[in-house]
Amino acid sequence: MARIVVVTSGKGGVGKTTTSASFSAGLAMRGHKTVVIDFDVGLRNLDLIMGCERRVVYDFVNVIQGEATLNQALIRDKQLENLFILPASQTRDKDALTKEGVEKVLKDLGEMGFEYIVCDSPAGIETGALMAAYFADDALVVTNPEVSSVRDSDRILGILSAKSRRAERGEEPIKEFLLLTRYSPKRVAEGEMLSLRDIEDILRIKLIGVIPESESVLQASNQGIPAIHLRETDVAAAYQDVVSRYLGQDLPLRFTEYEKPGLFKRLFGGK
Amino acid sequence: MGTEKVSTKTLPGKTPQALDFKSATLYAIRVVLHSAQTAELLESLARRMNDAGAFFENEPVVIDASRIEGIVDWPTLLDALRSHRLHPVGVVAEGEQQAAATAAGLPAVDVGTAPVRPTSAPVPDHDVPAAAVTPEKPANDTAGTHSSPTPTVTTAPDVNALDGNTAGSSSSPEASRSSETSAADRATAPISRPPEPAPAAMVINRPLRSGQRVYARNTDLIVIGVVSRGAEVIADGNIHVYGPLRGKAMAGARGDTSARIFTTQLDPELVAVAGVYRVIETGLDAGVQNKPAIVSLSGESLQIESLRN
Repeated sequence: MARIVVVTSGKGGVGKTTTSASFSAGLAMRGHKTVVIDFDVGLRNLDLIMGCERRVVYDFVNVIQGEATLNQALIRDKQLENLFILPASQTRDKDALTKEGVEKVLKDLGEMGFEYIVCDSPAGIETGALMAAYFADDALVVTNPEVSSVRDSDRILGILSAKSRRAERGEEPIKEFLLLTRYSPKRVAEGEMLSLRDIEDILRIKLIGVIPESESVLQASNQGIPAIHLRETDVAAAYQDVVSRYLGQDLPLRFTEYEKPGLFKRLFGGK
Repeated sequence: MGTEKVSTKTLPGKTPQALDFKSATLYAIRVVLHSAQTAELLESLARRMNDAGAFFENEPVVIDASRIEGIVDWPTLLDALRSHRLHPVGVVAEGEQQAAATAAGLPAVDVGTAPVRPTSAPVPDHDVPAAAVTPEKPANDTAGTHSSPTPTVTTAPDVNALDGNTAGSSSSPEASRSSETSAADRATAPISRPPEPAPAAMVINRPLRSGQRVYARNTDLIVIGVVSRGAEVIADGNIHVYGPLRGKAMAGARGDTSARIFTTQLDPELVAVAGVYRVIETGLDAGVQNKPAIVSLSGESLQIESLRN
């Protein structure tokens, strides 16, 4: 049976779709048949980030309403043969997502042989977000080191522990992982940003990784490829670490320490 | 009512024992008789069962006949009970009364008095007392303590002590006699229930996150874990937080001024006891900020003291 992972945050704009794209690509790179689903009905973005916006014919809502089959709607990623995308509808609204409909799609995907189903949640705590999280086994809670993001992540953690199917059935709770994104060790050192420790103390869930703030993310989305493909970059390396840790490897954290650049670097353009 | 495990010898060549004696605890309804008059008893029984509906059906009952003069017509009473689907399993009585009951087939039993505390169940939002949750500021707003207007709290229907108590409950007053089941009873409650013993403290063994709210009705609340900013913990009794208290804590929600808030790490948004609240805007004294502390009500103002001696 497929493992369902929700990428959620509460707060908008923190890096959920960026993470969903790179995380699912990372899993596919390691040979796992993976599908990533965009739950943001009406404001879809995943297809842009994955570079397949011109290949969207049918979407998630079409499948739920029986207007298309999964085979017709699923888009195979151009770079990775193990990776598939199920885009959201751009024209319908979120009421089209029903529990039964979503459950059936997830079940059918499992039967098609997918090992991982990554659910890219919209921002907020309304239907789209609740639906994306409802059936999850694992949750990546994407958080920026900034007060409103931390509070919203705390809120979404409360919702995960109370409103998921696992919670309703009294089963083992969703495994929650904290993913810090847009982390700038320099600003933490200067006291402008909340530190790792501060956030861990507030949220108290297991940290699965830290993605450094980087211009590469913008470059990647402009090119329509998940950031994890930009091999020379910190962001790609950090996402690879996240995937490894998710799959059980115990790796030390990288990109969390600030090294003050030497005199020459500061004179001639270091950061 | 327990019996020791009886060791039996297995005869060589025989099969293992077909039965075993182990201990068990039986919860029963105790029907306390206040009169020995058959007619009165039957009439009162019929009325109680009518009021209670299906509440007592199929319960085992122990009949307490220790407070009356005169011998009860046991066979008639037992038949009546059974006709109401109550199952007599024993009698508490002495001397002749006990003999008469035993003759009718009812064993004498000893009812213990260990209190049985039902567990606390989660309470729906609309049942949270308004006073505890939305304190109002008085016209002259000064930094410091504020008290809310007299809370309008809906209390549970006043229960006149029914003459049926769960066996083993801690002592509660038994006011009315069976002959006095009057209009007063009907007016106060559609269903007369036995007074419930105070529930055991509600224990929450997980972090409470922003937006979550827990209300411990009629009892204390114990949280093992963090109470995040934006979370609310409310109790009619005391509140104990073994972890950082960063949200809102409101003890004595229905007016108990002796309630207190205890925590191992005090850093709250708001604390209140019996409706008197304080918003913590600029931080507390260094002696209590983020340290073990107790919040209590002294007169009309809140005291916050360190828990260390």
